Amino acid sequence: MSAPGLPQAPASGRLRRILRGLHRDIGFLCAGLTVIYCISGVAVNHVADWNPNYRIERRAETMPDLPATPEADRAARVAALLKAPGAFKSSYAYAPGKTRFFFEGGIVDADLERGELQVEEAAERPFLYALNYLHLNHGKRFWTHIADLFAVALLFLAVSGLFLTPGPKGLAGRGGWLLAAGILLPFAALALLR
Amino acid sequence: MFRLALVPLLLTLIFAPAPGAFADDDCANCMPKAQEALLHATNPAGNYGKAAAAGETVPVSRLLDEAKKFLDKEVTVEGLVVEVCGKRGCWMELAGDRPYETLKAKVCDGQIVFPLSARGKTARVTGILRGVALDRKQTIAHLHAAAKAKGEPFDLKSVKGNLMIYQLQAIGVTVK
Repeated sequence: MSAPGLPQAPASGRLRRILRGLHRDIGFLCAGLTVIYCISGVAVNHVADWNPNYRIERRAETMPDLPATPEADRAARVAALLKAPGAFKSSYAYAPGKTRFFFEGGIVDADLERGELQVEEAAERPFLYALNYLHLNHGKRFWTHIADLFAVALLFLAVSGLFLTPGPKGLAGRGGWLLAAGILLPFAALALLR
Repeated sequence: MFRLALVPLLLTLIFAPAPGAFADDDCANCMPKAQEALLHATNPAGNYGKAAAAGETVPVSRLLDEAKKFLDKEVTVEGLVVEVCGKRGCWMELAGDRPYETLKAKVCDGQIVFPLSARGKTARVTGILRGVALDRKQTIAHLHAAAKAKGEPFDLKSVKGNLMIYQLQAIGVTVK
């Protein structure tokens, strides 16, 4: 607000001040969620290379006395290899002399003739799992609405940011070129990838 | 002052519960519990997609022996789940009635997500039998992997022609 008797700032200047303030405040508000969505986004973007929600641990073990162990006792013997085996579910002979034992806490592939085993256990990635839970909207319910509002807020930040900087570095200058490049990128990608 | 007044308004809009926000997951207007959440669920029992069809099942051995007869037709099979896709839960492998024989039930990524905990459980799968033709390179890779899994040596000269792999395009799965 200008002092009495002095000319008021042009309308564009006032609007820019308002935009800048909103951009700043909404930006602070959205910073936390943006970090969550970014980290989770990178994680799930590489889902072809890794599992973003849990870590599969595999290791080789030996149990020389396994071949001599009676069939009825084998499940209990191999269960000892798992950190938290849980209940025994079932077993399956997937090849001659080889059996897969299924437990609540993991699986064990056993070569019954050589006593060689492959143990597999899934451990949740607690941090990433929580981020992905929000990003991918697993919980649904009210989070759907929060996520929608967050998207609207991001849209506002993107659009308002275009008008914050006047002059040669703004939309009419260098900023305009960068904006065009950023818009062309997805079109070019679609043209190349599809 | 104007923009400061907007901040609490925005906060109210963001954090105020929307109508039905706390409604139960099973309410008619809500989507079913997110399939992705079941990927690491401890209890895999339930339906994935639709429930598998009731009624008679086709033994996996017969399905594979008479694949051409069942090709592109809807069938229901039942068997022990011996493997599940560890990345997206987009397929499960069922043990057949014949030793060391399995059948894969596949869905599009994210369409249905089978939990890892389904391994070792019995599942009933309704789906359409599809044939996937492998080229020579894929055939060799497939046979090599199969031999390795069994601990048998792989002889390249034994590869005669290209393989046709049969798998179910799953429509409904019920894990018991």
